[in-house]
Amino acid sequence: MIPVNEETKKTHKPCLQVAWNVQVYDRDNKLVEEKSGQNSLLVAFATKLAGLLYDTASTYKDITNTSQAAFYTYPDGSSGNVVTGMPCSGGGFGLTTTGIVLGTNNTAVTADDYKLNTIIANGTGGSQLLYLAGGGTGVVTAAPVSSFVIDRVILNHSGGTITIKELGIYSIAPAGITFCLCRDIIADPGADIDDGEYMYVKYTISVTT
Amino acid sequence: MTKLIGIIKITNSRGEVVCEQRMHSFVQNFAYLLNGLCNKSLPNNGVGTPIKDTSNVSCSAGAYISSSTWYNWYNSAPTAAGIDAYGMVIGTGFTPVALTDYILAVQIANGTAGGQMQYMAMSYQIGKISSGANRAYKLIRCFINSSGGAITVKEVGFIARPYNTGVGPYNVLICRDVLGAPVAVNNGELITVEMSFQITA
Repeated sequence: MIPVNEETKKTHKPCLQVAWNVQVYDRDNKLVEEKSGQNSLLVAFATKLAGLLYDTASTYKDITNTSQAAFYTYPDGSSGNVVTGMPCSGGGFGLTTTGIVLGTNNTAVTADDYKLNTIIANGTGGSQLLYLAGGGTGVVTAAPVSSFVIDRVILNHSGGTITIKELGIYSIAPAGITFCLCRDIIADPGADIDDGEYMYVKYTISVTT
Repeated sequence: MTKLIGIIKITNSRGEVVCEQRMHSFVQNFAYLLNGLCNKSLPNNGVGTPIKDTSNVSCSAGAYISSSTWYNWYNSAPTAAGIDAYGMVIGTGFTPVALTDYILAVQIANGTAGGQMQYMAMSYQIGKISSGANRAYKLIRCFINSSGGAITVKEVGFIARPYNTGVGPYNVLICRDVLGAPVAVNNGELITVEMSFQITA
């Protein structure tokens, strides 16, 4: 018997890297704050990936939406089913059901998280933010990395300062069911967006050989 | 912090683990397919045909087709026995992984002739790893050596089958890993290869 390769077992590099970066700009488009972090994919992402790689509908409800309701994963998009696609880069203007979303609660991330703890609603009322339409790029390869970007601009017209302490990516299935693919936290004191300022949020997803 | 990890585990005929290592090497094709999923488009934001199939021919299939219809990366059925064109595959090459890899370096063909191994049907298991929804998702395939001689397996990969209506399916390599510990398989023996994914802290 060839012994298990202990050295390679010790390697902890994830097979998919997800890095985030937030930048706060003032009314004059001047960068006033920037923070970064990486790697907080959640169970919903792994479940959808598994559904992509094996062509059998799940036999039990194995994926949890942002309301903590369980659904089946299916290999195709029959009406009402939860499907394997994960649209998330084109979050429409004002939508907090898909695309990058922000929150105010930086409780530690766990793999079983299914939503942001305290998502910030869209709007111009107190403690609300205006979510612009999300975007994304194609794949850029610069060996040994292939990556693409999912991004969004979020404005503060609430009349006060809002402190961002968590961020994530929501994906909405054709049946209108939203899943949280990843959630990241910004350590205290978080990142402040003053009234009239905006935050540019960027997730970079990459594979590395 | 949580992350997606992949694990490759190989056991021999006696159930002994002969290789276990982290799976690192999604290749460029995977990035294109995932990009299409996220952007609700064909791969690479719908621009060009960057994905290369296992014949190094450009192809356009992805998982998305319209606002309400999606497809997986696996066409119509799990991989049956005897198929070596897609699903989990093994090889004897050990050249370093490159992002642009579209085939294994030296894939072992299905069969019983010299240098060949018999590919069994793929299966799938889900293992519960938390009290919540967290699971380990395992793709499993057995390979039998009836070639008459020993064969040393040095690389493992997965060939997906993206498609959509009227396009594909194409055989597209999405990951390739060179084994840290090559696995010698004697004539008459089998190995079971597991590729598993899970979210972990």
